[in-house]
Amino acid sequence: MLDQPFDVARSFGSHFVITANTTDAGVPVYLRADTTWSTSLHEAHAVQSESERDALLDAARTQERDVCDPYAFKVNVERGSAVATTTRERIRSQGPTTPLRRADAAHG
Amino acid sequence: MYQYDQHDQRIVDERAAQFRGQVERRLAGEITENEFKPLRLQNGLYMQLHAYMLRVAVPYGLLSSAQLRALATIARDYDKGYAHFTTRQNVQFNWPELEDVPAILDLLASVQMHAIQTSGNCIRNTTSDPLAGIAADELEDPRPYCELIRQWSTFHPEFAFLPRKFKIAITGSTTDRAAVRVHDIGIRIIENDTGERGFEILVGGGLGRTPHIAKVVRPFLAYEHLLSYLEAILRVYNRYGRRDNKYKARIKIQVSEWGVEKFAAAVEAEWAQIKDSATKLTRDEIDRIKGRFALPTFEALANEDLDALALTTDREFARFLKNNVRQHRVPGYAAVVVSTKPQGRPPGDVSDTQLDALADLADRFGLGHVVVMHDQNVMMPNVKQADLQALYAELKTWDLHTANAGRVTDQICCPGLDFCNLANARSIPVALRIADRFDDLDYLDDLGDVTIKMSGCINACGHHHVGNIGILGIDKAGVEAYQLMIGGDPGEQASLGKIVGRAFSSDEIVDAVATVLDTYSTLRESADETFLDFYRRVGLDPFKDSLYGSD
Repeated sequence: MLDQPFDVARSFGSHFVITANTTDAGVPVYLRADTTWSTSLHEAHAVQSESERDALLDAARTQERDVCDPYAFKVNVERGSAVATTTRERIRSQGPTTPLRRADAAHG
Repeated sequence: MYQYDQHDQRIVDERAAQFRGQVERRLAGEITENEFKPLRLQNGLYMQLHAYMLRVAVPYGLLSSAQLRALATIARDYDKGYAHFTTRQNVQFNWPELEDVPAILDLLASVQMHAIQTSGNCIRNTTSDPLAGIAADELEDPRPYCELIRQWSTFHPEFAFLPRKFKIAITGSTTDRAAVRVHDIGIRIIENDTGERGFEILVGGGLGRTPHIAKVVRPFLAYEHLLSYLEAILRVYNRYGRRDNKYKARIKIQVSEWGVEKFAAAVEAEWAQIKDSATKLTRDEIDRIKGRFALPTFEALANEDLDALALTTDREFARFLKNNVRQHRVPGYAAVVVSTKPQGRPPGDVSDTQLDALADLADRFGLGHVVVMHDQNVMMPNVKQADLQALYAELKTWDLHTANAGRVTDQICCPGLDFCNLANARSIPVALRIADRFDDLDYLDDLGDVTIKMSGCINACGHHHVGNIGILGIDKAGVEAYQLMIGGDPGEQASLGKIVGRAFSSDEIVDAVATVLDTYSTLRESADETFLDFYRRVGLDPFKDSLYGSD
């Protein structure tokens, strides 16, 4: 894992996908095949080769007005969809696993 | 509390206006993220896993009711309805959108608040004792000195790009409730042998990857030299601190590598050149700062018999009196710890409606302000003892009445991998499971004061090294695991916890904590022997035996 390039997150799996956070709200997004962004990891374009990965990263970097700090990470592909293999990327794609404080017991 | 003068106000107004322009340029695509990042970080705006996070400075933890209401408005209008109190007495918002941040900073500026220097390699918020100004064992209120440091360090041109971030804590009491020995600089207000008031200066403490207990760099410093001496320390650190390796860049590494004697000699040499310069304090300047603190006016009251009250009231309130009420130096008054840690709630999180309620209750019962505590609770420092029962009843309607201050479930817990970009493991879900497991309040009272502190990574925002029980989340080949350490203490006898043995899985860690507590409960000499005293008497072995057996 340590020999992965700087902009490839520590991760494992058979494919690469490209992710970033949106500039306006910081929401995690994933690069589709047509180089538009989706908030769903399942819609990410998963590629196997490093050259494909680097081409996607280059495409992502041209959009840095809309997204911040794109990087690649490894995933597995199940039934055609990218599936996160690390807890970090799973939480990032699905949201916090904890209750948010909003609801008050007495005063809702 | 300190009231801004025109210069303070102009600084925060101008900074908010400046950042508005920077945000507009970023959103318009005129500047890149790489150009914008250092600008947003200088205004406390981080990018976390799911969203931006804005860290708001709360100087030495002090919040007026007006400021609480502003935080409630931000939580309600610009976030998901809650705020998070941090271990450095600050407030964080986890979900702001970039275009809203200028409006948030304007709102903060309107109540004399800001997010300046809450990130970056600069001097951060100076923290202090939550009982500052009211502690019975206090020599002098440290907050005016905190404020002097805030003003000196804000936009200090020499110290905007230090090797790493820099944290200062001050206490005016003999009991250390500010964890001064685990800060880059710790300051204790003391008197020397001739009764002269001054400071003991400690340096090189810190947690994180390489924890260190601070060492005394100057046993006594006369009050007028506080800023010049701090400046000398910062200059030696700024010039010689390591910039080649981020993990060796904190001042604790420099002090450790040099030895405190060499470090002190370098500071003294630097100080000799500047001690009588413009930063030399005069009594007039200190009095000017003190004069801008609108200190509360206390009524002449007699102490209530709280022990008798505890005996005659219901058990819930009696427990609250015992666990959450602290002594006040003024007769007839008390300080109340408002716990943010009921079952099922992430430690430190408070909703917008609770923030508004705290503001109202502070006005009704607490002379108009509260203090954010470094253990992520909120202290209401000036409550009439005669009002305690009425305050408790009000707190109960807002789910702010949990009587667990200092108990096992009063956990310090960082945001962890549910939010934080640096984390390796989740911490909040573990804290929630611990709170669920130990729901027998009688058992918690029987255990007495035991602190659990938990971090989701080695950066130690959850202060795990100085928890009586420390939990560190790690990534073990892609799977969350938790190291358990025992024996940490941030106080006068500061000590770092020791790792008991192999890490535990997420499924095992709560049982492991239960085993540690049962071991203490079973083997302690008496109910008066605290967890820490027990550990210091017996060491790790009984815990190892009960946790790992013949592993």
